[in-house]
Amino acid sequence: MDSQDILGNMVAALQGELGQGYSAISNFVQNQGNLLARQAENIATSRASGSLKDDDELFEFFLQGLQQNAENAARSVVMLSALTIEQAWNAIAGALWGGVRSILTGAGVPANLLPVTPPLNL
Amino acid sequence: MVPAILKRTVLLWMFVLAACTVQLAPAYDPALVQGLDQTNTQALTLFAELETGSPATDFPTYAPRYAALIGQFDSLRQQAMARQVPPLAKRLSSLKIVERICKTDTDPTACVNTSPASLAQVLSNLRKMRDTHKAMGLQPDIVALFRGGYDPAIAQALTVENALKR
Repeated sequence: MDSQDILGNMVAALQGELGQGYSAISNFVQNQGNLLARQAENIATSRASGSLKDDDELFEFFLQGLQQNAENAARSVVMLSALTIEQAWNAIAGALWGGVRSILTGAGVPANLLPVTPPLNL
Repeated sequence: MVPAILKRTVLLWMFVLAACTVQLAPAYDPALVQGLDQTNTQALTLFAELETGSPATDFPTYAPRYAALIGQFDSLRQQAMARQVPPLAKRLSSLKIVERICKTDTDPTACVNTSPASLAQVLSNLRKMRDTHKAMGLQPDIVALFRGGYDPAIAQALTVENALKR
């Protein structure tokens, strides 16, 4: 294994993780966007001609809920992004460690001194 | 030609980087995911039963169902809140760039353990729905609005918890 192989493995690992992460986040955002938009529409309809017409307290409750759901959705996106970063980093570290390990064992370092996966977890 | 010292420094850094994995979110909790799935099914069944509306006089029939759902979701929220958040994740969430969204001054784990807040929203909806049902009954459009508040919150918790399986 040489540096080109290691680099190739790292890029492949990174592409896989980022692709999956992007797809998951994109689906989540689209789904949340649809749900929140539909709720906003239902609140407006009910306020105009439904049960919320004369109910200020419930109207206020649903508006606050909509706002809270939107804030929580944004935080969930941050968390899903952090997970993608974590998985991308770990995939790169795994590929890099695999390369370093095969170079070192090829150079005569006993394989049992080098764990199969990266030994440190921060 | 690259100086030998630079080569060695690069190699050393490669070795250090290769040796470190990171954890930026809590560990996957299968019991929590299973609990969310089961309780969500019960909640959706209740919504389905009530979607054509229900008078206040019917509330006593539904009271134990509300109590069970609220108790189960609150237990799941506590379970999610009590788990350990990795120290590196806590440190990163105090960075200026995420501080504005994450409000880390009030909850340092707001963006690295989001399910407790989503489940608090689920609970707020169910409690208000129970109280409304008891006080004045539920009109079909009001049930749809409670469902509209419930759906995004449970979807957040389910998506995030399932994503933790890595």
